[in-house]
Amino acid sequence: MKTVDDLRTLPVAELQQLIGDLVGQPFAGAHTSYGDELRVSFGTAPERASRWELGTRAARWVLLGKVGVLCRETDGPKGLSGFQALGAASVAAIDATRSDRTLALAFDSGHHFVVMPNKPHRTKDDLDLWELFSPHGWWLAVRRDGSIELIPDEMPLVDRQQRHKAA
Amino acid sequence: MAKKADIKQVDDVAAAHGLTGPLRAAFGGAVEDAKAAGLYDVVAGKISWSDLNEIAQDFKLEHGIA
Repeated sequence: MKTVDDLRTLPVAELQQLIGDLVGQPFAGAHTSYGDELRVSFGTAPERASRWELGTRAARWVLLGKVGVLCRETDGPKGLSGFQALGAASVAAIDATRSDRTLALAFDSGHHFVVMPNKPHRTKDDLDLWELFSPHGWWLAVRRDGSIELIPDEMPLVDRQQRHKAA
Repeated sequence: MAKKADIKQVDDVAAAHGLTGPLRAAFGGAVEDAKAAGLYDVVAGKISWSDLNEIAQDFKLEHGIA
């Protein structure tokens, strides 16, 4: 069980540095979780648990192509087909420095993916704005109140799965 | 559009079973997979609390979580 001491509130510059490791990672897929939450994977690892995964919770999001919007959160699960346009494009740049914690990804294919708050007010007890799971034993939770938390993962999912298979 | 209430419901069930972080996220995927597979009754697009708890128990067994 995590304790409060396990959580670290990050300054934005450190957040930017951490998520900068996502640059160069190829798009690996998009799917919806229960509640139609969009989750986007990055990386080359065969197992999903070893890839980067971005969770959009209930935030607004939009995927932009060279000529406009390819899909957005209001499209529902059918909108996932818009991500096919990304192919194996890699993340070329990432930015989360805006004060509202909007996350913007630019791909080397010219596409852009943006996750943004859907309400002007910020409450602490709301769902997180977005979250990013890394394959390096940590994950980030970006809260709607603007705070950012770096959370160590004591037992990464892929290690847990491998240990369970071996048992 | 994401359904905040459904996401919160799965988060609550995950928390009750001690599933946090990546496990909580993977559990959300497992629930969606179970829903898509037609393994549980879906009423108005939702799976019942009791079925969510059953999925959580299966998920924990599958991942070797006591």
